[in-house]
Amino acid sequence: MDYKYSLIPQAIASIALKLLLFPAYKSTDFEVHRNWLAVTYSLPLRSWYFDNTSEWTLDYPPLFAYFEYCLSHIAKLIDPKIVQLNNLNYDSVSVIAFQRSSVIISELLLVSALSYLVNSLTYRPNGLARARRAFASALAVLLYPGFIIIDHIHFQYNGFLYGILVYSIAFALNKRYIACAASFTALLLFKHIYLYIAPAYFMFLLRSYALSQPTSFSKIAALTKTAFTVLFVVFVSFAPILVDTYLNDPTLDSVVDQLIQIKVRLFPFSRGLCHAYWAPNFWALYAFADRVLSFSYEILGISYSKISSSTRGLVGDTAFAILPQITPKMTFILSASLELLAMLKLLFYPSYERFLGCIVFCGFSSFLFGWHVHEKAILLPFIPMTLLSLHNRRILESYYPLVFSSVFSLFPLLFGTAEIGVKWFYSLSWILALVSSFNFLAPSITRRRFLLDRVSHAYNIGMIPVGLFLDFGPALPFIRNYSFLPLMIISVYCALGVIASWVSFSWLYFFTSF
Amino acid sequence: MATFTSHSDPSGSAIKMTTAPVERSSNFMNFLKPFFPSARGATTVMVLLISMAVKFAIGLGPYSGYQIDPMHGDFEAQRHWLEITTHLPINRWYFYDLQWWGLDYPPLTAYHSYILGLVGSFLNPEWFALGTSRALDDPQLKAYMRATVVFSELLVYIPPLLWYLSYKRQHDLHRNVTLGAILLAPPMLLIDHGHFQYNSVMLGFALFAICNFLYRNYLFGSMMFVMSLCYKQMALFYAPVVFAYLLGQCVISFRPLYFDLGRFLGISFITVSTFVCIFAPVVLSDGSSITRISTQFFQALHRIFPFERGLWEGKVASVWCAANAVIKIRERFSHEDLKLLSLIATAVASLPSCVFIFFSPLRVRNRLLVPALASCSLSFFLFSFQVHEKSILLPLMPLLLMLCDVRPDLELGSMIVWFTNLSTFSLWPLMQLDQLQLQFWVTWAMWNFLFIDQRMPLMPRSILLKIPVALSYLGMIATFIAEQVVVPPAKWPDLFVVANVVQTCAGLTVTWVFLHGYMISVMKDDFAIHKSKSK
Repeated sequence: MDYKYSLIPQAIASIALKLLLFPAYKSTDFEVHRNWLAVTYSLPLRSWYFDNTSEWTLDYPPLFAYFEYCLSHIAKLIDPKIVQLNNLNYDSVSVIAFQRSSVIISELLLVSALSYLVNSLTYRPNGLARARRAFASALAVLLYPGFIIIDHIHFQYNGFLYGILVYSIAFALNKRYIACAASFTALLLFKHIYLYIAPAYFMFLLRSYALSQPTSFSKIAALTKTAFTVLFVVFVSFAPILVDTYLNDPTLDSVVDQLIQIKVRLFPFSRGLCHAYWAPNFWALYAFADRVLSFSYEILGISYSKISSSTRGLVGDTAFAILPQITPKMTFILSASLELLAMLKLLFYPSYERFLGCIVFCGFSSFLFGWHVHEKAILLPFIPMTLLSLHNRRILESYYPLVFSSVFSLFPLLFGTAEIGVKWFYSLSWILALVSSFNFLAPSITRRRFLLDRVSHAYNIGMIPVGLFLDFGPALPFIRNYSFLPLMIISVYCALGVIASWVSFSWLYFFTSF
Repeated sequence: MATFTSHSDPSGSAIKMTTAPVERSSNFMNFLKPFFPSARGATTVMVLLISMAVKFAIGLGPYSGYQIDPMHGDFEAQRHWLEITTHLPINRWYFYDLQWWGLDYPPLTAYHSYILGLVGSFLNPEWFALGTSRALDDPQLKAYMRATVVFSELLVYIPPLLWYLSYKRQHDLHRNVTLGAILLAPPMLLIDHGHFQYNSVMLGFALFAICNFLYRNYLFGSMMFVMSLCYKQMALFYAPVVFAYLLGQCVISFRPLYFDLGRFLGISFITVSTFVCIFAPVVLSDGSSITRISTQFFQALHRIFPFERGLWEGKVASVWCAANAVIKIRERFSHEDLKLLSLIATAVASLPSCVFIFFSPLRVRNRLLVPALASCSLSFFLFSFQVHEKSILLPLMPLLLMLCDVRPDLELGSMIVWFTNLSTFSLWPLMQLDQLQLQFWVTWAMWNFLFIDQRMPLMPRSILLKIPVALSYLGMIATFIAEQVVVPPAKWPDLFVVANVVQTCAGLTVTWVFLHGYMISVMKDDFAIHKSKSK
């Protein structure tokens, strides 16, 4: 019998839904990417990171810029107006069809990565049961409503980026360490948000590849090989831009200027702690506590220094009225030290599952404690955790709150009325499918934590009224003066779920054997 | 293609896979298999949720008459009825400014509009403000209207559908596949959620009636059927068969003739009183003098049955319109002659199914009811007066219900697939008009991708059916290709529409013949079984 798992029918069916979403709402990210098409098409490489015709300047690493460059040459064949630099906010049918289908087609990389991951499990000990579970996880990733919401409605290219991530994970599983290092480096050079999970890769490659070689010579050789692979990928991706810069102005200064400019574009530190809509992380709870405190101070008549209110803060300032201010350095130290702990655990207990767990943990720490985190970053812990969730039932239980909060916390991205139906019904059917099949597939356990189970169920069910309040609350007359309320409630509620998931997962990661 | 359950699974062995196919199954079934047997109930919910997501996704597209001056389209008509029913006293509903989408459906539609209008006006009074809201195309209004279609369908159409599917005892997996195939059938999606109409409400009431009949609740069933009629007069397409069925149920035996008068009177009473109750608020709205009652009543009737409008509207795949491609019917015959001709032709064409239903023995009658409804409504579609292309839903719904009777050894599956494809094809001109091409292609391709398997193959096996079906598919492909390649000559600007109409009409005729053959074979089988039993 042939046990090859195919995700293709499911992918085709999901493409159908994605095609129907062509006329849906699209955010400014759509124009951002259109502008990048125009920038990469119209300008020489050296000017890509200097151009500021549009306010949506190029702020992704070079490989993504080359990706846009390739797309722009196809776009030009379809409609030359797409790639005109001054054609801001162009939204004809042609550009929508082109950009939306580019997302769909590039997402096929995710399909192929997931099939590779699932099928590479088949021929292992106990492989069938594992492959079956991996197949369920892979389907859950492929059909994740977050991709529909972020990529296919809101507009971004996360699908293929996560495809590269899944490939690197699959390479790690198959002990193809060099390929793993190369693909992850490439991923970093597509989008630098993945830097947050780089520690997991670093420690995994160091421990499982380099340090587990038999002799010290082969240890060093492995290390050098990995280092060179990484450097080579970095070099190759930066070379075209730097060479172009150098040829235009053959001084070292120009190259250095170019590198500094890229760094400035990639790491803008002028933003605030929280995004306009608080991502459901620790700082959302912190800001919420601050608001509650200041509100109760007002009621009690205690005076405090009114600086400014945190939700009304423009980009660049998030000031708290009562609680201590948070600086970028503090968030960095917090998440870095957490990631360090996870790395230590991986150092002493290396395995594929622990590596996946380390990625999840790093994703969590960056999402929960990072500076200026977007709600979309929830994918960073969510996607790896989906792949890990069926490993045992206790992980699955810690995963459920994240399932709900990772979907519902993305709902505010689509604030229009037209998309309410799609996002609700698609998400609900996905959640139902996931819960009913994962419950069945996860290895059973003997011990159940009765109380926690109930709390978790209550939390998950409670998500529905919270979500309804988000979408229909603003229509209620008494809410109109408090328009921030629905957003605040959903972000705090989802933050609770993410943190619960993180706490229970950390317990499992640090104190149990996977 | 492998899925979860293709592997041996200790807990999975408990399910009875008696009717589940062993060979290649459809993609949709492969989707559902992972959820068996762990979550059977959840699977149905999942199929429903997915279909609703798809409906909302289609709803993101344009609707009929979107920003097309001067009259806009069906969306504006429906919106306008929400506007007039909420703002005008009931006695003016059938009189108000008839030139701008005057109300031309029976009162139940008006009451439905009234309720939706009240809710909508609560959300935003501007959407349905009298006069000023005409031709409004606010995106939020669109979202609201789209949602009303989906939820009306959920309330009225889905429950009887689930009921019907549970009446037909199928394997759980197959039942969910059938549910998916019915809910995702492209014409249903495109007309109600793309073009914009509330056909599913009318079909839902009719389906409620069918389920009630099958469960022997004749009184409640008749009431439901009258409600269907009073929602849209199109339900008349089913009326002869329903009448023959109910009359047949009143005849307990033919030899000696034993007529259940009590049942007959009960059904008559319920039918008449439901009509009266539904029409009363409109008819009595002006006061109770005879002249006023008759003015109201005849105005409503006149609006509902616009006989002066002509044999067909637009280009539709009825026999008259298709024949018109060859002989100019409307020039040869007078309007009155045509009315009579169409009446006679419709009666003749729908007679066989009524006769089958009426004279067949009790136990067969229930099996014949749905195919008879399909063939009767098909006769109406082919021959009756004032047919719309959207009326294709009336034969389509019972035909899709027949998916429950599909067995791998019957031709039925392939014919249902073909009919669905044909009726989708017949909507192409309408979809072009509405700018719904994307939705059209996606839903059509997807339905075939998801549901084609051995039970529902693309091609029938017998050569007799294979030839017309193959020709029809080739014709569809040829029409689409020609439309891209050839520019129609100035003499015939509607060349491709006419090509579509003629092909569809021919196909519908073949389906009509097939349905009668199918009914005869059902009766024959039953006769043979009965005979062998009595021996």
